[in-house]
Amino acid sequence: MTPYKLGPEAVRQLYERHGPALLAYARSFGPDRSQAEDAVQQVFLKLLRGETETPDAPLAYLYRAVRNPALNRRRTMKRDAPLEMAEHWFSHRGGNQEAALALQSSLAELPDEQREVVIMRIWSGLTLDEISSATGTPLNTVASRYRYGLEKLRNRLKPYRSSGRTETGRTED
Amino acid sequence: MQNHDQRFEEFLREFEPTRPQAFPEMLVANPWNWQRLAAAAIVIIACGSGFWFASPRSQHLSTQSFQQGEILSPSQAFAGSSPSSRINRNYSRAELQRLALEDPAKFDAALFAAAPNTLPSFTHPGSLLSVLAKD
Repeated sequence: MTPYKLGPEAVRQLYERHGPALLAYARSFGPDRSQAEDAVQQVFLKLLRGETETPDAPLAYLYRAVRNPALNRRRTMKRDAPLEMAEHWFSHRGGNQEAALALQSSLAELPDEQREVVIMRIWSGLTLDEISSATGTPLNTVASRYRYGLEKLRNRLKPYRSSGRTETGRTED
Repeated sequence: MQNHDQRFEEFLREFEPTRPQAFPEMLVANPWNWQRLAAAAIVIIACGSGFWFASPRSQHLSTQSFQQGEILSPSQAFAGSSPSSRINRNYSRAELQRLALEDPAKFDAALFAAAPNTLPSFTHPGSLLSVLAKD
């Protein structure tokens, strides 16, 4: 992989496309919204200013760059400090904020590696192959992490889907 | 099972992560603009000062050149040659020095031609004529 520098437009597109998912990822590590925002902004600023060279998979770099300081912050904080779930970092298209809070809580309870794969897959739109190369993890491992993570979320969000109908009015399984 | 997962994925995509603050391009654009402006200003100043010092006008101003409307050779001056044959030139002090060293005849002609138009000052306190006038 050859390091290179991204142009401002490419960085802006990355920000538009993946900024929300990265912010959700950062916020899943700790309760402080401003710290999470800062972490995401700092990563993109470094890219924009050319302070860092990006490998072929910039998204993998972004996730790592958000993850490492978030983990450090979490180590310095009380490990059992609860996430401020009253504050929304997800919203539901149909306005079901109770379900959104449940999703936040469920995501925060997932192991880091499962949460990472789920967020990259669902909200960054990466394939499992892309996640595998982005994280340097074997595809089988990525697939099993995703499967376990999804299964846990499915169980925890069951009450919000038990009616078989979401807030958007679509029939679910 | 795969269909089952796809439906649940669709359900999850109904949730949208909140958007972060606006793209911070202004924070980056300003330093770049300042750097470019500073570089452009340096280039303009360097080029401008180079042209200024290289121009004959600056030599004229900086060296207090002798200004003379017509430069004639002594023979032309004595013969009263026609204006069309005369050479209109401004000689700077440096040029006159060079002329004195390299071509004394031309130097004499230049001084001779300048004499009628460049009158000595009687009023200047340090001038020789003012001293003589007092005597």
